[in-house]
Amino acid sequence: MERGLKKAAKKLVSTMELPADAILDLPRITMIGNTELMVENHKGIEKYTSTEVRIRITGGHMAIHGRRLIVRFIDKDDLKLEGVITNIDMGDQ
Amino acid sequence: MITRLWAWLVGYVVIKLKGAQLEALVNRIAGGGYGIWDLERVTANIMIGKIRIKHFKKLRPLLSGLNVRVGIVGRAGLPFFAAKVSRRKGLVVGLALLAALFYHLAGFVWMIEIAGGEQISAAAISDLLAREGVRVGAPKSQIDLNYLENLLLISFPELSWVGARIKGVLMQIEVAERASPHRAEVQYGDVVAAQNGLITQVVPFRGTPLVTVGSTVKKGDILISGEYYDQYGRRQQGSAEGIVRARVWYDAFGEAAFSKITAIETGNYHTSYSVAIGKWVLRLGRPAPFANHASEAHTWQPRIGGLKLPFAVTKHIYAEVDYQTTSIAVDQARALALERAWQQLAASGVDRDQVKDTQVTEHYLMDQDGIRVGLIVELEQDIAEFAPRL
Repeated sequence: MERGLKKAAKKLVSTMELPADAILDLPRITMIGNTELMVENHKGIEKYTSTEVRIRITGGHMAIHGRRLIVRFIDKDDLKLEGVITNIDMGDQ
Repeated sequence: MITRLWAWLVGYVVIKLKGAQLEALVNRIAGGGYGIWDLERVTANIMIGKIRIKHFKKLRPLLSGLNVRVGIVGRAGLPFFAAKVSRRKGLVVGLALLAALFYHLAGFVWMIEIAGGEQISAAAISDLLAREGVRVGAPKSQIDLNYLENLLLISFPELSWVGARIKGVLMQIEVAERASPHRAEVQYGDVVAAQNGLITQVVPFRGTPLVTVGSTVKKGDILISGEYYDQYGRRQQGSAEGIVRARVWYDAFGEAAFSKITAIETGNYHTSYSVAIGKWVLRLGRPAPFANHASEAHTWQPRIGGLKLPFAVTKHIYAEVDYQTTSIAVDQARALALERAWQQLAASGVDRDQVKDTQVTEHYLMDQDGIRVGLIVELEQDIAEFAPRL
């Protein structure tokens, strides 16, 4: 039932060209160079070290690898990460 | 930036999170709508971050069920600063007094800047201002800028404009002088020829023209007289003015030799050194063993900081040279001599582009093995020059 609803929502988004982040609860990820990463609509931190930060997002997680990583700001919706980012992995649940 | 400024205004604390489930606590804090910033992982079980005071007070319920302890390691922001300052009343009073003193001192002029005067010195303007009580240390409230501007204009007739303003504790006086005094109106005189020439155009503005197109004039001849009759037939003596163009001639000559001597290095070199201690110089090694040589020197002088020590070592390099005479083609020498003649004309103010006609003569210098080129140029120019009658 839930899977069917999701499928319908995806179809609606693609047909009507609606913003996917708002309808499907997807994260909006903005990166400035390799030193700043902003994740809007995150679902929390799974792991945080100075070389790896794993963030929960809708439908999975993203792992950011790098050096001197620091959470510059975090609240309910936004998370801003700074440091030298070398790699980003997107994973399913 | 604004967020940080707001956090400083409302106050924040630096907290230390210690325990095994730090990420879970961070998620609970963020999920509760409380922002944390500058969150740093210090060790495997310690994180340091910053949180607003108001939010810190609400953390306790979020800790339940987690094996994490939270402690304050620092406080910052306006509330803490205000509390700290209020405990040091002497400091507050001192700062208030200092601010009051600054405010009081800002009511005076501490610098006076005078600009724009060439004929009238800044000192003369400054003296006049001082007589009116406007000097360094004068209260700004007693300075009437409009009055000062008018006073300066009346006191110095050479001034056409005066601008006075006060910026903070700086008073700026800017003056503009008249471009030219009334010389033309008041001085009686003629327009005379600045040099010999054949007149091609006469345009008198004031006065009586004494020459016509085609006249030949010599330097100093009166071209336009300052005496004239006005519209009522009265004889006037004024300042003659006008344009008088004439064809004028300039001459110059240039010389060039048919040979030149060049120094060619033979490839033999000799090196010697000298040591200088103060004014005393000691030469080391033999002097240059060549009949003819060119030399160069490289000096090394040690320094301590920016100070040169009174000690220097110089390396002298001598290169043996052979002087050889090479001949120059006649055409090349002629062109060189002509160019030198042009350079001579340029030095006396002749613009090559204005030249209408040229005449070139050549003489071979048998004894000096060279050529002399004479150059006469003709150009048209304004030869009018004002000469006052004394």
